[in-house]
Amino acid sequence: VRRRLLVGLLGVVLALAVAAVLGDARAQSSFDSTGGTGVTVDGSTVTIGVTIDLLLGGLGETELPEGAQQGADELAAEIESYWNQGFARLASDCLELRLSVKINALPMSAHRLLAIDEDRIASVTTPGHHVVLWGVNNWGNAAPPLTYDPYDEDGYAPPGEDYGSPYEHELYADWSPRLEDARDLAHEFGHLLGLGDDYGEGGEALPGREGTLMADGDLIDQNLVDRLAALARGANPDVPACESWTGTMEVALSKDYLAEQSGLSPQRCKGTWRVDVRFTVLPDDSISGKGDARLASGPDCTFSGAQSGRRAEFDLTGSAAADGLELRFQQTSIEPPGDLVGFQAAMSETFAAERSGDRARATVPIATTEAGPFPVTGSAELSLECVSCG
Amino acid sequence: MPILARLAAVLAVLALGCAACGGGDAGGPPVGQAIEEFDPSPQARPRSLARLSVAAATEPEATREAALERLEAEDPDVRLAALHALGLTLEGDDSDALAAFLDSERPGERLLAASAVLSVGDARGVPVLIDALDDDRLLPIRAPSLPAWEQARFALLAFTGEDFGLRGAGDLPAAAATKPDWERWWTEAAPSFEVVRAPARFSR
Repeated sequence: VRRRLLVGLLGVVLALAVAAVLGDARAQSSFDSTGGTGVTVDGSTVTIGVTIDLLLGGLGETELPEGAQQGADELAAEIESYWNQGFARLASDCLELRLSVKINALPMSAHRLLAIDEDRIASVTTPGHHVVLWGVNNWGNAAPPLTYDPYDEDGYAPPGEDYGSPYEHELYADWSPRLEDARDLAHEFGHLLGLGDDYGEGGEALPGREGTLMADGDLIDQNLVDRLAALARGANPDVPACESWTGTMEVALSKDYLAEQSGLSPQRCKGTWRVDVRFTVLPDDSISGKGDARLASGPDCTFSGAQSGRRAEFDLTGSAAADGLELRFQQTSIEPPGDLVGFQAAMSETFAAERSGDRARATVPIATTEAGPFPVTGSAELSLECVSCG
Repeated sequence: MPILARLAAVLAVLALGCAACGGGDAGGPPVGQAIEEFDPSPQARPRSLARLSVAAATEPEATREAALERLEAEDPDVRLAALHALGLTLEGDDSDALAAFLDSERPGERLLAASAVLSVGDARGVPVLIDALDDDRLLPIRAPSLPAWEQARFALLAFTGEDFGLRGAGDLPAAAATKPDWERWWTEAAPSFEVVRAPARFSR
């Protein structure tokens, strides 16, 4: 009886042992990865939400330092503020990005290792939470910051290459006091948004990226916003997609001050303007944009002493169709006051631009007699390029 | 019953032990393997560095021992990984083992050793770090690589309490320009130097 009892108990204990091991194995492989970075859309406002579990306490420690959560909240606010200032500056009628960051301070013991395959391991806590190790030892020594995507085959994003994995998986990162200020934190955080480095293996900024946040500088520019919008759209197709156009217009004008109208001998002023325009085609096909005009030459007048505007700003409105754009300028300012060469004449009528793929051209009408009592003649050629189409 | 109790206890311990080791060991390679398989190529480096980082965080003592055992490895990549891992897990009395690398011909070995020994208060690291302030060779301890002067900048600012304009230095020429001031300071400060750790977030 004792032998049977012994065998029975041994069987029970063995079964428990096997169950414990299998249960643990199942736990290791059943992590339901959802991504630590998410995207919600409300009209033109796109909020990128990031949740981070920040493992603290020094390497190997199991307790949180005093005030850890407050420190984590401050860290989140610092990062959020840095990115949101850039987003607000570059917001358009089409799209305004916003960042929402939540950082949970947790002791090192809160994470566990998850085997992705025989070569790759992930440090995980809760589905939907990226894991960031505050990697400084008790002496203050720390490794350089690192972001690692354990779900990618090699976890490597070449410089200049973005990646969508933060929106699908929980990434692992090493942060430390080597991130000295808000700029450093914002840069490193950019990797949890899916942005790759904009500098190369030798530390040099990639062409055109000098001075920007993911390279060697601190600027959040339109390029970063556009890349983030594309990443966000990959995670949530409701992120509005708007065409962005830029272009230039060369304007050559001549304004005649006729004797019979002015009571003076005939006079004439000539000049050329160079105009930069940028506009967005909103999801409802309406157009909204701005223009900035500078007097490129002139005014070349048959009289002297009169003041003329040298810089003008205007709004651009209209609508878009597959084969063309209908546009209208509305001048909002000219500095200094005065319009000797008749720039206003190029701002007076709705006109059509013929579209061919990502380019469009238009001959802008000159309102020869409608810009005041003195007729204006000349030409205005507008050339446009879509910088984010398709 | 004593036999039964002993057997049950052993099996229970085995079962619980395996369940617990799911955190530290399951899925992850042994620490020594993470050091020996360190691959500094750009494509493999993030994974290699992450393995070392996770090992140091979860098994600091095992990582330290594995690193100490591999400091003399023939493969320079293994030595670099061992120095990197030891820098994160060292104890105060590891300084002499690291000091052997302060005159290494390899800048990565030299600077990782110098940073580590200085972190525990060993002044022998300071002149090595000052000397690297105008060194733009690349260290494969970050992806993309870290210029040598940046590693020197971090350690000098973190452990000396001095600045000489180095904190504001964002590139090699600016860092190199501070080198004469650091050298002058060290000439006077060396005999009485004591480590001064910069205040940092989340410090105890």
